[in-house]
Amino acid sequence: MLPLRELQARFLRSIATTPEHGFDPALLELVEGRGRFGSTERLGVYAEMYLARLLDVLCDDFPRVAAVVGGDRFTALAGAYLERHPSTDPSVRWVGTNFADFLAERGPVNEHPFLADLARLEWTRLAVFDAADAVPLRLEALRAIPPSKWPRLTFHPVPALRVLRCAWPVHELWAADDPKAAARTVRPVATVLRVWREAFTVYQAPVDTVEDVALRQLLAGAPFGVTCDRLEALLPPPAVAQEAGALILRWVEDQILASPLAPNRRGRGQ
Amino acid sequence: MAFSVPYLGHGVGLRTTHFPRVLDGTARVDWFEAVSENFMIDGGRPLAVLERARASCPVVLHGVSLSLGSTDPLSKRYLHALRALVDHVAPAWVSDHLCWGSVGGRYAHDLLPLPYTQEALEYVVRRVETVQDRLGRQILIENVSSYLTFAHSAMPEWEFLAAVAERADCGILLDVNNVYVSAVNHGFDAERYVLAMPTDRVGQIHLAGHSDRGTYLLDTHDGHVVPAVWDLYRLAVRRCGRVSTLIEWDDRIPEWRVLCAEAERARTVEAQILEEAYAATA
Repeated sequence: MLPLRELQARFLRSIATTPEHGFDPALLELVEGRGRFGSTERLGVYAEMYLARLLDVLCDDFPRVAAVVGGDRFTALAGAYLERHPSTDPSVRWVGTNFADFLAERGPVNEHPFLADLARLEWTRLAVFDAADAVPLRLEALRAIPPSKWPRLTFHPVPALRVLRCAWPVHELWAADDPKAAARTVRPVATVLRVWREAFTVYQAPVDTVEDVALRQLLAGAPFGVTCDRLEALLPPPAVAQEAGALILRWVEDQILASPLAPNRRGRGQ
Repeated sequence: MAFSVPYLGHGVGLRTTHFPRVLDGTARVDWFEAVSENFMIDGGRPLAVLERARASCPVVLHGVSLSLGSTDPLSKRYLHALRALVDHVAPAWVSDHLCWGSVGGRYAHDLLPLPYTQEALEYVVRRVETVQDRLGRQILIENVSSYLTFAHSAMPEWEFLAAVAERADCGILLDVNNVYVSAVNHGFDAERYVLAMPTDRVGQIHLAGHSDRGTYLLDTHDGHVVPAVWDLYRLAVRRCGRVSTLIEWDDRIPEWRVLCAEAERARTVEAQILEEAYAATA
């Protein structure tokens, strides 16, 4: 008889790793078998369910990566990932936490060097999907602010906003009807993606250098005047205020600026 | 201490397939059971759905990751998140499973079987007590479907479950389908299991479908409740009386009317058994 902790450690090891020489004999001795449903088959049910369940989770979380590499290859990748990064969180929501980094460390899979970036985009979309809610800033509130106060005005991003820097235009692969076909022609292009949520729908869009700089300032909590100063390095002075104003209007329209007057709906911050 | 939860009627699980109905207000049901971990997030659509469901009917929280039988320390972060969710949702009750799912900080995300020994009993009782202290309320623990048993178990599962409930002063979520699946897989008498339940502690019943894999039954929650499980449900109602009952349908989820029809069938079965019992005593 094994102490409970030892039994559990052997059990989890048995079902979570591919047994090269069958299951742990000390564990099998403790498992009661009956007829055609013997102790090995019984433990095998748990081993099969372990991989199937977590594979399902990874397929749901990284559907485009799965589509690009194909079912069998994705199953092998997922198995290798789970052995290297077993789940350490009670919720399956976080099983894929290290998947993008795992792909990056592993190097090109099936000649697909963009996979880590694509996985990062899919993981970011999940983070945005269930990020904390916020009341978006409305245009009316913006219009009520006198021009003299704008330079010192600080905008707040909603929690459901992320900026992703990629070496590949993975948003094109994500949007492709056939990601596998699109993967054959994609070429590396340094890409900055803004990922955000409007109501319950998650969006992503590439941003240009001007918006990238402005987003950095927004996320750093810089006042509007400082953002304009930074943009002066990229734009002729007469165009700065106009371009910065246009960006703010676009962000208001996309609901990525939070209303400073309204607290988080549930009062449970991130 | 006594155990008591309200009678809610016949409910269904809160699953993504029917989120649009919940949001537009057309998902009418006695009550919903929500998987706690799916809502331990900061915001977005799932939480909005949960809030909408809660505004229309009672909700209970059903966890899969407390890992009550684990020898690892209870996750403080998980308990904190669960407590926050409980405070936010105000569920009619909270439940989890009589099993373990993690060791050494690694999670299997499965409901793994315990040996029914004195050592395991001490662990589980202590952990249920700790969880109840942290949540400030009694919880219900559910029997799981299992595919193996341990030769060194000192008592049958039903005795173990009843002992945990009694000693930890918690409730029981009796999953009738799980009783049936395990009974077939291990060759014990399912009726004996149901009859051994302490009736004053059974606060909820689960009904679900399963799959026949030839040499064993697999708890798949992907179809209708089978006749043998309906029979076992009749026995459970005869034994325990009115108990809030939930249809678990988690895979190949049917359209709303089919799901509701299954819950209505449970209501009809319950009414028939209670009428019979009333007629017998009248």
